[in-house]
Amino acid sequence: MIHIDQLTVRFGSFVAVDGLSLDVRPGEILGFLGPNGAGKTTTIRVLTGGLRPTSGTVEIGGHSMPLQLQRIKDVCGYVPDTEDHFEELSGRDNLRIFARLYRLPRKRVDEVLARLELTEAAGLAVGRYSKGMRKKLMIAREIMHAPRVLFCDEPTANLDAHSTGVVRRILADLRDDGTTVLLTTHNMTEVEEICDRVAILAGGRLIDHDSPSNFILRHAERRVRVERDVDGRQVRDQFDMDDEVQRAALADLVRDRAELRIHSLDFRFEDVFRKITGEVYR
Amino acid sequence: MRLRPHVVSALVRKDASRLVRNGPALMLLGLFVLVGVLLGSSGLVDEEPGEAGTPATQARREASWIVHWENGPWIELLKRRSPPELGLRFVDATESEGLRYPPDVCVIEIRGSRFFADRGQVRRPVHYRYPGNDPKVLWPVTRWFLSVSLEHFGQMPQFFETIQPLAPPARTQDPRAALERVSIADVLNVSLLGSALLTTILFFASCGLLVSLTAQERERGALRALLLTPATFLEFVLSKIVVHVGMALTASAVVMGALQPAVLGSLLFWSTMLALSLGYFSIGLLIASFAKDQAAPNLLSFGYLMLIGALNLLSYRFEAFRLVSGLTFERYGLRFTLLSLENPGLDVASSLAVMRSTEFRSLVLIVGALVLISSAIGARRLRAH
Repeated sequence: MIHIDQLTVRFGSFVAVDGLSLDVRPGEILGFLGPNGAGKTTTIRVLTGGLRPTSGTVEIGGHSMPLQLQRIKDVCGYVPDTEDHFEELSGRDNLRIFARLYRLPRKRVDEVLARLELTEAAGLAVGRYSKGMRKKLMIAREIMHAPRVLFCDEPTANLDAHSTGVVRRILADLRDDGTTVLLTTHNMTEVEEICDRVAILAGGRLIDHDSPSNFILRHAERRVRVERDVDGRQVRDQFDMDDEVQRAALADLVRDRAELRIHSLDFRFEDVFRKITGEVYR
Repeated sequence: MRLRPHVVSALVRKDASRLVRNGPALMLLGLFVLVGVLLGSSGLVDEEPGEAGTPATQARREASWIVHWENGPWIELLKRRSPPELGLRFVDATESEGLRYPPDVCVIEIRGSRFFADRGQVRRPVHYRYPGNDPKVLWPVTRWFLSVSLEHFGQMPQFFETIQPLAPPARTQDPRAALERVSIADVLNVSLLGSALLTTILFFASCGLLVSLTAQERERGALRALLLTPATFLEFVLSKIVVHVGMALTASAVVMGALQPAVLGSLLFWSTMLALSLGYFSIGLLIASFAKDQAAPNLLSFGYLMLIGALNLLSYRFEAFRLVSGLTFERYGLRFTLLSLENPGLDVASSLAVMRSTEFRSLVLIVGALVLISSAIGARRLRAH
């Protein structure tokens, strides 16, 4: 659905995106991750037609960017990381503007308002909305025309636990309906929960891409935590079971001490992300 | 390039909704309109100059003299089109010796063409002379004279004009007495006030408000959201033109409806208003294209108005400024505004004749170029996010 080939974006001598090549399949949620300044937002700006690349090609739904931007706009939605509402208008009026542009029936506005649990606040001026409500209104606006591709830049930032759940469910439903979602987030639990695949960027380059579970399998470290009492104080140590020296040290401890509490540690996707990006920046 | 009515309509409704909720902007626009209505109701409109019953005015009604040093089709047309109520008397100066004017007539002296070395131009000197102290008594006869001359020449006549009293004030007269006769009220007339008011309204509605609202949309990111929809930039610009130029023209109609209703039927007036409004719109679009927040562009648009005002004032005195101001649409637009207000009853044929003039074509050309340039720059800069 999205085909990026050797995409490079330079701002003067600074290279924001460096030869990025990536394919996003139809009907999948791709987590587009990376530390700050990795080139995620710049890539999304190119994908949404807001920035011309220095070199490389981008195709969305078979249409090339930027030549066929107008066709691409018909099938895309973009939830940015910053608010972009008409503050003086009500939530409903904000959505109606966009519904008219897409020639959607008025009832569609009420449908998405209900889906994002904004019906009660629909008549209020957006200037009086909380941050979370504004974010939900943005999502409502961008899913209203049922886009085939949805770019989401931190859609659950500033949302409470309940609203976060609502948004994640909506994204999963969209995926099930065949929508391709490119999701940028710093919430790794979210990545594990809803992303089918993950692409990790650092320094403008694609470091790796795979499913979250494969990432964990490939990068997991078997570690144990050992708790013991030394002179009346509790001491905690961690041992990497893949390291021969540390494994031998643990064996010595087990031999010498009668009372040890040993816990195996979970290796989560967040650890994988830290490990990968840490290696890049080390 | 797609242009779909439903998209333009949606964008127009969006801008209209935002404007309705913009209290300060509406109040300011309403204030301008109120000034026009107040001026209209204050009697300035209905006051035909000199109709206050002064002897000079009564004399004007009885006789205004057109004294000509040349003959030809123009003079013949002036004679044919002379309305009886002005009581015009045509005097061929070449056949009159020792010409002396009665003390209570208005006079238009049409001299033969002359080369003005300091300006490098051939112009026809036309001197307007008025009885008493009030030049406003010349109003009806000059209005008629310019209207017929426009019809004859097909463009704004290149006259070298002077306005003088019939009898210069005696040097022995107490200067304080002369001072008392001069009042700012003598200078004010519908054309001047109307032109100033219309320029302010057109600038505010077509440029000031456009800059403010567009910069606000850009600052808040709403512009990006709109341009990511199927709406094209052309549709975006067209909707802005409909809203801002439409608002400027509507406010102008209300003001002139109160101030000088006769001008509302003038093709020249509306064409000039449209051209000026589009010109200001283009300037607004340019300023908004380079602005990322609201504060700077608002200052910039205000500064632009000041700069153009200063440029046009200086252009009357200095050649270099005249050349530069010749490239601004305001130079032509303001002259045609004044012209259409001074000739409110200009018919379609006369309007078309004026609009075929080089100056009006310059106005259209400059405004057209500005619209294209500002749209091209706006398309490039506003679409980026």
